[in-house]
Amino acid sequence: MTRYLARRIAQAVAVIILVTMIVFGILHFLPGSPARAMLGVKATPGAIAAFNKANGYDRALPMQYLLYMDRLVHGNLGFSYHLDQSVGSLLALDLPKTALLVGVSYALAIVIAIPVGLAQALKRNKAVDHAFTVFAFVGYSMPMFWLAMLLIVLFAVQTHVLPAQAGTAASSVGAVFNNPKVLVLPVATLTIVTVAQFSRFMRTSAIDNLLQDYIRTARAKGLSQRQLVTRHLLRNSLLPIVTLIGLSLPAVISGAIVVEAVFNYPGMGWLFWQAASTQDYPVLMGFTIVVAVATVVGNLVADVVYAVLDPRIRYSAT
Amino acid sequence: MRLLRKVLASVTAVCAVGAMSAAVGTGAAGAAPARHAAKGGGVITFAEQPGSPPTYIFPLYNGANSQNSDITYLQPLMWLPLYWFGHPTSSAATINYKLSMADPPVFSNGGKTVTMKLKHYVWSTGTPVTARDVVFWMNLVMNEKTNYAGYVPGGWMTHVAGYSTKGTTTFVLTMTKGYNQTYLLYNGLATLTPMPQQAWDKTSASSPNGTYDTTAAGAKSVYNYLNSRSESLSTWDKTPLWQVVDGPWRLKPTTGFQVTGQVTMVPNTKYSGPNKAKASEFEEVPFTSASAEYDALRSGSVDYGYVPTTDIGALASLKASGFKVDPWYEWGLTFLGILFNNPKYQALVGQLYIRQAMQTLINQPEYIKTILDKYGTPTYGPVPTFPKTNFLAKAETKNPYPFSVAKAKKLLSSHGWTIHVGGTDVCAKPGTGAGHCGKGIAKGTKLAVSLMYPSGTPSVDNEIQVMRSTFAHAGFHLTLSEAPENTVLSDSSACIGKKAATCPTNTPVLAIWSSPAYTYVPIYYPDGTSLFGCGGATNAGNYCNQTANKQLTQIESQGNAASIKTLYKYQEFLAKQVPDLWFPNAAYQISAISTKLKGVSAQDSTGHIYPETWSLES
Repeated sequence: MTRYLARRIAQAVAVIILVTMIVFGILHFLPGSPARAMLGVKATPGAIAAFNKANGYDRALPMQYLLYMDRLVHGNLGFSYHLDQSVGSLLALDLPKTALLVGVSYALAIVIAIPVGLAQALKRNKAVDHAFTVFAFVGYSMPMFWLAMLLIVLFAVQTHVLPAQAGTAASSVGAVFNNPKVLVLPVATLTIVTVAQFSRFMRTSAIDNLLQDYIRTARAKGLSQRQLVTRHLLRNSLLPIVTLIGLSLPAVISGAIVVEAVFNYPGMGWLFWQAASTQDYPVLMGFTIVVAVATVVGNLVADVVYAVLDPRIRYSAT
Repeated sequence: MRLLRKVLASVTAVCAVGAMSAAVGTGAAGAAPARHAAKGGGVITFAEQPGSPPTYIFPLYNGANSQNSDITYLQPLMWLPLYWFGHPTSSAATINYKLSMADPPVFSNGGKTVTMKLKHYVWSTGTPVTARDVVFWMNLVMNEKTNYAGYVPGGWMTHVAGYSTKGTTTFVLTMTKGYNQTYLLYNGLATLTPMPQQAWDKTSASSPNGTYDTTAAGAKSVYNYLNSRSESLSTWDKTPLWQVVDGPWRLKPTTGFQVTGQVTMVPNTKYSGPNKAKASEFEEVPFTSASAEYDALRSGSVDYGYVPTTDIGALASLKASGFKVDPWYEWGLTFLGILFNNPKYQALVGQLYIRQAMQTLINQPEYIKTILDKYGTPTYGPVPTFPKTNFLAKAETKNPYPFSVAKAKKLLSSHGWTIHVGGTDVCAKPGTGAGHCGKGIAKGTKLAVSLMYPSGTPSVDNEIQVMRSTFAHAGFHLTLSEAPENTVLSDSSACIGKKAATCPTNTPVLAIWSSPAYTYVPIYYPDGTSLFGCGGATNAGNYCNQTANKQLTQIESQGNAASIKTLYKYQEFLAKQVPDLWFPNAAYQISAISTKLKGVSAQDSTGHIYPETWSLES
């Protein structure tokens, strides 16, 4: 396992470097220019030239990349010319907020979706199954912004029970902890959609397993329903969910643009959107690197947990 | 079955806990009505534009930090310019001597010398604002011209001969050439902003206050220091520098700014000008999207906000819930830029009759009525038609080219074009004589040009789609392309200052990047020198007409009476010349103002806000 991990980490570093190269290249071939995006219609050619020089955009692309990587290995992610702050400080501000929002949503979704999926599998084609299937289809097919709007209209505009937006209360993760109610509607929005997705996977996986020989054997050996579910069915049915959760780690880091925009919860998703619309290259690169690391780590963790859950799986270092 | 019940019970429990925590966690605190009560009538909440948080506090700002959230919502509330433009009670973009820190300027020596006497104002430290504070501004800005957004190459700053103080309250500016008084006031003197020399003349946090600004190197060091402090957003409300103000407000110490864009201001108790703040606090709140702002507005947590253009249809319910709705227009104009030096199309757009035909095919009143829901004003020339000012010639209040497909077709057919309704017209009579297509247009040339417009703005999208359809009725083919606003801006400016030979042929011939497209802020004189003058700094289309250029020179240097007459002639000439396609000017925002917020009688077209004149009724 150690050799396997070492090999995977080496691969991960290579992948991340490759990602930076690709993203750096793509960003610089995008139409438009950061100087125009920043300086606007009143910018003179002289001002644009000065901006490009100050930010190194007047140099050859490979040189720009090398300079960027040099700064990166020294821990400098660059400076956002749109938000006038270092990229490191922007990520430090927004990452915990997004991790909290999306992390809580996923945790809740897992806690709800797994028993729901199991229940549906155990009562396949019965009323319970049909009811949750309808919920899942409605939840999954409903556009997230629409669901968010409905919740806002119901709980904020009509009844004034919950705040419609986070605003000041989401200025930092500490502020969110001080005012946790601002999380309720955005978390509910994300959770409903995620439950709908996860529960379908869990249901399908559990149904597949219920048809397997080992379940029939276990039943024949006289195991109770509880023992059957907790010892055999649950564990084996969780495998696809583990993969899903592993792949979800980047989402926890990269945020949920729609929810952040609708609920005025400035996090990583919103930061990325802002940077993309203003061609704020340093922020886009910093964001990409963090998400790339999260993706690689998420996959790695999923593979390891997979091995733990399924003893048949053995990884070879060769 | 028992297990199933337990599973379902656990799901129900999780949901119930979530719901309960929501209910317990919120109570009345999240409710809008409670918010007003909690504010005690003293805290006014103002919504910032989505994704546009303040990024720069130092009033000597550069082009990258010249958004409204910096230069009209933030800095002028704390540091007043010498001459104030705009009014709290009207939308006129004119000089306001009552709110200005100096008496009207006195011109002498043929308009080369300007003498300005300061009124009695004090800094929040208690020391008076002096002419030396104006010199401090001048020393920094003259040594850092390219870092100042108000700098225009070849403009007034290029012609400064010197400046000095006369006593403690008189500032004297000397120019190398005589200027029109109004022109210099609106374009040059308007930018002068006294800064607290005694507190800010430093090169580092540890350096003592001095007179570093009196040398070029020292001025640069001071600028670098103040710029670095301004770029340290997280320290704005903790830095003593920014607490020294002369305006009606200052940042609330230690909690007045959050890097996400939240601004909290408290009254400057030492403020010595008119209109002392009535509210106990003034908050500017950032938003990630217009819809988030609208939700906050409807739930009652914003006193002064705006309605997204997509929600204009729901204004009745908003009004019923205690808001008045008022469009906010900027001192600016909207147009589709025409690129005159695209080698492939310059012969086409160089013909006045073709530009006139295009203008005739734009139905501005109808666009405003049906697409902008009446929240727009027409543009007929370089001077904004709204708000009406003395700068606006009578001739420019009317459309010189009223909408008429028939007239456009006649214009084209009478110049040798074969009309193909729904298709593309073709030049049938090449040549330069009467009834011919014009110089450089070969037989068989098709009447087709490219038009680039911004994505994500439904109203502009609709206008452009209607325009394409209308143009097609006259056989004028428009090839549309959509791109993010900054891409449109970048691509349409690609040939600025270039000769046709070096301008790529795929550069869009027509382009619109936003509405409004250009504002006369903080350079208030509405002649558009840099837009329409030959070689103008922001003349993206490279329009150049010697008659207009001569008029611009005269406007800048003539006496007031002659200059305004020339301005009238110039705008009438330019309106008919169609240096770009005049297009409807959309409102900057459709404001929604709580009826509990008293004192908002007008919205200033210069973008300034006057929260010191507002109060919140509990």
